[in-house]
Amino acid sequence: MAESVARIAFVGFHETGKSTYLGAFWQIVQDDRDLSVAEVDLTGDRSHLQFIGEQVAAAEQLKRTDVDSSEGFRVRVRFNGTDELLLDVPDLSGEGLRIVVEERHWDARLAQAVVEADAILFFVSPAHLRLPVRSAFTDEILASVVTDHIDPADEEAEAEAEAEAEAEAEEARPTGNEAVDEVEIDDFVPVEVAFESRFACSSAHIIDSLENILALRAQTKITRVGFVVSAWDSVDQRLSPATWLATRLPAVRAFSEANRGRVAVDVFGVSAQGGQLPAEKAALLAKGRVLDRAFALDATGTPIAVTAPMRWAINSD
Amino acid sequence: MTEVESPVAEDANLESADLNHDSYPVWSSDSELGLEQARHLSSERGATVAMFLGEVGVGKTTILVELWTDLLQYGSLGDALFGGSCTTIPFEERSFQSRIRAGSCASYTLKTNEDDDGFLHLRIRRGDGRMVELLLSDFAGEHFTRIREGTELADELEWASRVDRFVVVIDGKAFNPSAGSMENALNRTSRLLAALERLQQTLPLVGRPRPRLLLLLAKDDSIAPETRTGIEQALDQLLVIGRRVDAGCELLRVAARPTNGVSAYGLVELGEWLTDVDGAVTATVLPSVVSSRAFGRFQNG
Repeated sequence: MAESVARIAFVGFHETGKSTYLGAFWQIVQDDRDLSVAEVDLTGDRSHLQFIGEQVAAAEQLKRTDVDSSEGFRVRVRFNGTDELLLDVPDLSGEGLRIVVEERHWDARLAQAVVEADAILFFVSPAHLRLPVRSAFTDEILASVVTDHIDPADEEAEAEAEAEAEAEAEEARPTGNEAVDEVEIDDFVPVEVAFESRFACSSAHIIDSLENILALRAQTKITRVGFVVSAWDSVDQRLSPATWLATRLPAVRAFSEANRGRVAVDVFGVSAQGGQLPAEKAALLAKGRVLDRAFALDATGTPIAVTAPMRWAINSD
Repeated sequence: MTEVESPVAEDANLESADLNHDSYPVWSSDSELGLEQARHLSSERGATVAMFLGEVGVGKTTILVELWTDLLQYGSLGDALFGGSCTTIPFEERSFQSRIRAGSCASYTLKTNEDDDGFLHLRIRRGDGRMVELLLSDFAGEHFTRIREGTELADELEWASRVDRFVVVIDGKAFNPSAGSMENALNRTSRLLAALERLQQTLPLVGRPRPRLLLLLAKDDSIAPETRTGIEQALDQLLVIGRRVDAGCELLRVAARPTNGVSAYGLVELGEWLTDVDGAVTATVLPSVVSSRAFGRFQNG
């Protein structure tokens, strides 16, 4: 007998909330109070889902998914109003997309998931967006360059050196009577930072990813792409997800609009944890279970079930 | 949803498939497109090829960078929507120094070396819904010095006969009296226009639309108001020569990266001119492209 299978590819760069959403989804599937989706076959290995689901339930931040992880969500479920189906969602690492953009090749597992998917859920984090605006862009790059050059093993020694330098500076601090050399601003020589693909702005990374996803799916007439803006609790709540995309990533919105013949796009705002971690951990846990604190909005800002982006993705009609 | 035979093992491992990353080529490019890549893209999708002409430092790459940055920042240029690019990373590379050198330092664009010669790609959806693929040349100014010194355009850049849009870039800064370079700028531009005129005479009269020409006065914001009236006559003379190449030739004033506090201007009009496909320049996404309009006449450099 033939069985329906819905394959959804979660794509997105590091720390965009893919696994957290999968963990929250799994917790909600198991919650009897939720009627939007139910598990219909209790057999099979759920160890990975249990692992990430329990971390979300405990309001803990998930660790990065390994690029070669073969884990994911393969569970027979029934969404409210649909027939039973096998929902297949590989838990893909953000490393795979980084490799496409920066190292110019596809991780085989990511490529296969993209090719076979009925729909793509593209995760975007509102934090760490690198905008093509000069001041913001420079700050982000410098932060990333500085971070990259800090060897954790040296941090302790560096802290000691800083303390010593501060003490010396304190001793040498002018009393007000000494002549102080003026800093010659004209002599300032900025450090040359050579371009690397990782320094491209977020829009460029996302556009490059989408171009390659669509090229890989050239045989698919229209690819369904749902943008999931994660950590929605950290976004200005006056914005709808569609407005957020249009204002923060206007090129991505334009790309979606201009390519309507190739992509069918929707936008969701999702807070899989319900608030910011670790700052709000206690308050979040006090709200109850994941179903009680996670929330989601549709493109217009109307509250929807947290499971709704998955439901949208399987609805290929 | 797809139909597959059940049962599907819960522990089925996708990695068991015989896959490696060579099976899935990355479509986009992390460097400017060479002639082969440009030809491939053009034959696959159809493209309008634009050549930006001008010697070192006139501002050719800066214009491309600011077109790109506007599209990223606003998603559109006037009515035209950003539809994608297979050269996002090369665009970002060219934009990088201008972003990183912001604030108190004057922003700049790295000079294009001949090793970096190539094309940048933009896909634009016009206000009327038509999709246009643009291949914008970013070639080193040294080529145009050699053309000004006497090398024929088609000898220096063999793909010149395939060009749909020629944009001759004039450095507005050269028109300031203190620069003392107005006469040289005019002579150099005149000689580039003469080279275009000679190229035109070698092109077949039938088979494809005649290429169009735009005179682009870059860094227009740097021209002092008291100087403007004095240079109009000189610019008119250039237009006369330009209209021998293309009767519809116009002058467009552009301040892509103004330094005097005014907003950038001219980029929307440039975008409109580049994507104006009336006259049947090849610019649809139809998979079959009339071969004479593709890159069949490209020669490998």
